Amino acid sequence: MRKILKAGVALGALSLLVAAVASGSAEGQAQAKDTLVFATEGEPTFLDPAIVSDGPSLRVADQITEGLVTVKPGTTKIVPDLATSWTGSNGGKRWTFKLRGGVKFHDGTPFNAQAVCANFNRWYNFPAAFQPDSVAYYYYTVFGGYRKPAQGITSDPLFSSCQVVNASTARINLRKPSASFIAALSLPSLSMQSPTALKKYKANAGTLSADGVLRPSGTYATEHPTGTGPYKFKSWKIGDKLVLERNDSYWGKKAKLKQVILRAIPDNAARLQALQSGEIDGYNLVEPQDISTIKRNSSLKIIDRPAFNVGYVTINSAKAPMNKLLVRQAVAHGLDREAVVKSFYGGRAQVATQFMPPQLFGWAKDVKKYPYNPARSRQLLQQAGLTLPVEIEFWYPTDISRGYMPDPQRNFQAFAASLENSGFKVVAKSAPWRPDYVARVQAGNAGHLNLIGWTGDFGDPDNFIGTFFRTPQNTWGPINPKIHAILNAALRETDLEKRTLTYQQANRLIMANLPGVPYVHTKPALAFKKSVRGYVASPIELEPFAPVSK
Amino acid sequence: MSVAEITEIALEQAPPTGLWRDAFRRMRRNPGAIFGLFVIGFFAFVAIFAPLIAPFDPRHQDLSLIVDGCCPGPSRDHLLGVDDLGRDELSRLIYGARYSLLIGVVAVTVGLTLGMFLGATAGYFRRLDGLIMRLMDIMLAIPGFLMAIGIVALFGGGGLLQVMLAIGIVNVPIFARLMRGSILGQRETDYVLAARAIGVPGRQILGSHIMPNAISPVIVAGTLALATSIIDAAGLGFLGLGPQDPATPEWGTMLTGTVRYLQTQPLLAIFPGLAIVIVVMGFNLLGDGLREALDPKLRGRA
Repeated sequence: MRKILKAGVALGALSLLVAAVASGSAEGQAQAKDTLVFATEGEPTFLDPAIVSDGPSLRVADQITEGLVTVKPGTTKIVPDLATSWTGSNGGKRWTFKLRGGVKFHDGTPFNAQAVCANFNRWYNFPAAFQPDSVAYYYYTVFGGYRKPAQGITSDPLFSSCQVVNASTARINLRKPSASFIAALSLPSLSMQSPTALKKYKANAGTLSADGVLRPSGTYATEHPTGTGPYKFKSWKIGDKLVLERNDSYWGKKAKLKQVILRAIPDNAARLQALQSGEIDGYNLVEPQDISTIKRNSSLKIIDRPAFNVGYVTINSAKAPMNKLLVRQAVAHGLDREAVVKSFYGGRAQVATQFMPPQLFGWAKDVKKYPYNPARSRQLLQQAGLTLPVEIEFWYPTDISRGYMPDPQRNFQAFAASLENSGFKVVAKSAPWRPDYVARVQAGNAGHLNLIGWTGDFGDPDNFIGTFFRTPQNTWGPINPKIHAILNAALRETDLEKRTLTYQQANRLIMANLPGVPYVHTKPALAFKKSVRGYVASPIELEPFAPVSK
Repeated sequence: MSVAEITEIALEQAPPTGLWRDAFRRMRRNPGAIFGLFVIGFFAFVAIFAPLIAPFDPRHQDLSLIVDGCCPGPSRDHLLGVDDLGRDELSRLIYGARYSLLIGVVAVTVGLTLGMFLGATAGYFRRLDGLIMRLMDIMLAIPGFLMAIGIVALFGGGGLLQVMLAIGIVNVPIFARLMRGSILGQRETDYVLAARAIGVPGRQILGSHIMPNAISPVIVAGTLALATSIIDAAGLGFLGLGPQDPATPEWGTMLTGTVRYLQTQPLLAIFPGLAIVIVVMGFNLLGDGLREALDPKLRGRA
């Protein structure tokens, strides 16, 4: 009986598979010329860019919405977008933006100064559930605070008010000068969305779960994202695909392809297979060991993305014994970073000595370094008065792949083994990236140690160490307040040379205090069919599909 | 069966033999069963003496062995190569035998104990029959593997213990049905009536008289269930519901890790896969042999 049942199930599964393959190939032929199928490493969290901070969500936002400014493709240089020009006055506290005329949101709402102010005011007035850094991450890190700060939000807001000068001129008043403010406006999370749609689909309603995950109650963030971009949202079926359609009334150069389909394929090998079988046209995050396979295939190509990331292990100092510097040093000496970087990244990575890549100004050569030394770790733990082995929880994400950690579990296993050699007893914990892992880490509800990383969003050190450490964050627990102070000072400094020196000083201070252990900067790779043209890899993953053709 | 035939058999086989000795004698002549027994014996031996046999510690990593992001194949030092973290594949397979056999045995013991108890109760105490068997029917209506996943989730996510319990519970209705059928066949026989007539209490009739005679089909099913349990455990491990420490050398968990390297080093997937296939085949052969040996219709033949 059971055997028959099993055979039936197997047969059913097989026929489904056959059907799927058949429909897949039929679809593949139909979408030949005017559709790009791109595989991403995970499902988006939400489609409202203001409440997300993960790559898959922001990639969608890059196509649908636009900011006042953007970056020149393939670089981190700031260029005009929805604002055609801007001027600062009042010592860098008042910024006046000239807006592009004749631009409409996808729902027909005109883009003007009122819309700009509606967006700024929306962020500033976020209800409590939207405020934590596990939700409105970018707004919080750039603008610091809200009109009615929720419990736990202690920093002062940077934003003061938004003024409609006339329909095509908007003015933003800040409470203090900010040097990274303009660059930050290129962030997809700070892009302009239709005030009508935001209101209609209740974009500002939602509840916060106990572990810091937002559950929106409106449909804006899942069904109705509305911007001004070259593509507009058509449909999203979790586990299947997200479809974008060309915006035929786009103000600028219209997209070359009619449709873009984004498919989440978290499994690296499955992404490669999908590309080889022609099911997709390209994918992000090629694994180091697959690069030679792709280069050997005459119909595929590799596109290099400039390195602009850092992989690191966070140490939560709110959890004893991580509040002791000696223990954090023991962790740093106990992570075999050299071996991991050398063995797992196929020669496309370097060991990180601090929380930002060396290409960026402010990187310091002479930070304190912590080479792998298990004996030293054990000694430090004993000095801290602990009995070996010291039991710690170490978390890693599943269902995700990042340039800085192609296979999180593999990095985790190597680190766990080296920590166990160094006097620790590691308790392994994992959670799926979407939507739990990142939120848990950012809310401080994960382990003593957590595996995570960061890809830069704009070319300013504030986007690395400023994002991490300028304001107190639950990710790290309490850290030396001098770090917050120096990073705030660096942000206000407008002289580049002085800023550089201040950031170098900050990096030295951070690595002496060890809120976490950075370990890798990688040069990620994308893979495409040779026929795909016009894709410009961006160091900050701001990659509009509009100029892509095939 | 006529009187004449019985006399004949009794003459041939004097002195009279027990069910199990009889079965063993028949099984010895079945090459498939012997081979199965041999395979199981081999894996049991490997599992028990793993620390003595394995050339390396299954958790010991040697990252310096990794070339171009992945894992070199077999070499003189590492007969089956190393995995993506530079761990010796052979040693991991050897230690993996422990987990697979442990999961199989514990899961079947759980299923067998609960199933036999429920089946016997339903078969002998007829008032409970409807309730228990409908419950079993409900469980059978859900695909086994799906139910196992559900049960693992119910017990708070993946883990070795959870997997063993889940697979055990999935097996319960199979054993319960078999046991009940077998008991039903026995309860109206003359010796049971006789026992009842002289006032032996129901529990004792069931325990000491019916059970020993009704148990053989359940034993056969148990052996076969060991095979499916090992497959199910590997399946759950593959889905990430197995032991939560990813360094655990469990065969299913080992397979999960290799998917990413299918194109670069397929051997990593082939070896644990083969181990699962062989051990499952061993249990199947043994189970089939047992069934033939214990089948009353075949008694006296072979």
